Amino acid sequence: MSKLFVDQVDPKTATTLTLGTSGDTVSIPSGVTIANAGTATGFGDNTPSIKAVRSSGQTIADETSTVVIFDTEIYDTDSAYDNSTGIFTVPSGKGGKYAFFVTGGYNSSANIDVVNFWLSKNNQTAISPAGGLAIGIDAYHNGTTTSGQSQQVSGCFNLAAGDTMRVYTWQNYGSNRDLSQGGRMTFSGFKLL
Amino acid sequence: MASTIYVDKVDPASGTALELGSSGDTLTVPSGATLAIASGGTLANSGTATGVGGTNTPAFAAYLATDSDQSISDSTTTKIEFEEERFDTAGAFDTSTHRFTVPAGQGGKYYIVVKVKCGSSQQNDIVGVFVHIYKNGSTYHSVGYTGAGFISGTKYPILGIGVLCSTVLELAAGDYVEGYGYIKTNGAGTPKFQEGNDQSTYMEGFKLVE
Repeated sequence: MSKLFVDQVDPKTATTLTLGTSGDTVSIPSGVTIANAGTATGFGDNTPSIKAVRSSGQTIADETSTVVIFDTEIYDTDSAYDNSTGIFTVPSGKGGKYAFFVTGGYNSSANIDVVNFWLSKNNQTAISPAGGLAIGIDAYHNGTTTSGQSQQVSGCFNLAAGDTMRVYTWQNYGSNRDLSQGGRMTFSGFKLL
Repeated sequence: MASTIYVDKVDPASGTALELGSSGDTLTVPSGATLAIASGGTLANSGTATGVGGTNTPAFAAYLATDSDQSISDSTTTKIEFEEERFDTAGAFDTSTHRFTVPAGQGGKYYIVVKVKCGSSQQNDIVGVFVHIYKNGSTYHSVGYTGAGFISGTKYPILGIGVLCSTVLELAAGDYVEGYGYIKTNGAGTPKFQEGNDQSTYMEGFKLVE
């Protein structure tokens, strides 16, 4: 084993200093402190991270499971969310456990019975499949009218690269109804460390 | 006198293991420099690492004081008085103002959740509720039910309900967040946010690592 004793290692040319080659392991032994005062990349973070909202009321047909299209991105760190389809796709190398949150509601002053929202992994079109593929919430309404409501669903999913997440809704008002918009319709998520 | 070696690449002389330092040493990545581990490389740390990788802090958990329901005015959006803490890593939650303020140098994205157990001094009295997350004194995110009848209507009021409101906010140092609630009753009793040890009405949050 060869050793080099030196107080500082700087790049000889330009500003890049490379330690090792692909396949090597650079180790920090027990008792050694590595103190970073600069920038560290590739050490694990809560990205990808997304947040999107609905800019206008999306029309949902009666008794029809429908993907909610959150068409306006607030942020999308890895360009993993498609605001034309409402689908988040796990990028290559970004598999792991994710947390997602959806807030949703309908603009309606008519009678309703049931409103569902659910987080759907790999396009599960029902609120209650087995195997952790969807997490949802029901709201039941009995008679009389409503001038506004919102529901929230949150949950964690084990996702591999290429897996998708989207939000579904279902209602049985008896005819088409429009979703809420803006801060009442949001879809957020991030990768856990 | 400090010695400096100028080189663009350091590789193991034998095998595939390159060791940096000996016990007791401190290896420093100075301000302005970037430490990047390329694809295929492994940085195996058995020592101490500071400023490398992230922790989801600041983090806090505050709740409505045990044995102290908070009575509020009917149909009035009211700040929730989180008077006790389970933890507060940066001392950033103030239990007197009931707000979390982003410390200096800690701006970024934060996950915030407010959960409220809504009740009334009279049974089966509630007809509408809302829970809000406020940013710098204004509504940022809301969840709830209002208007005659969504929960069950004036014909079918309910005893109580727990409502959870969470979101991710982009916050700068000095920004603050608070929890607010709203309860509409049939007028029979006084609405209230209900305690339940630290489990019924609470506010929690943490910073995302980016």
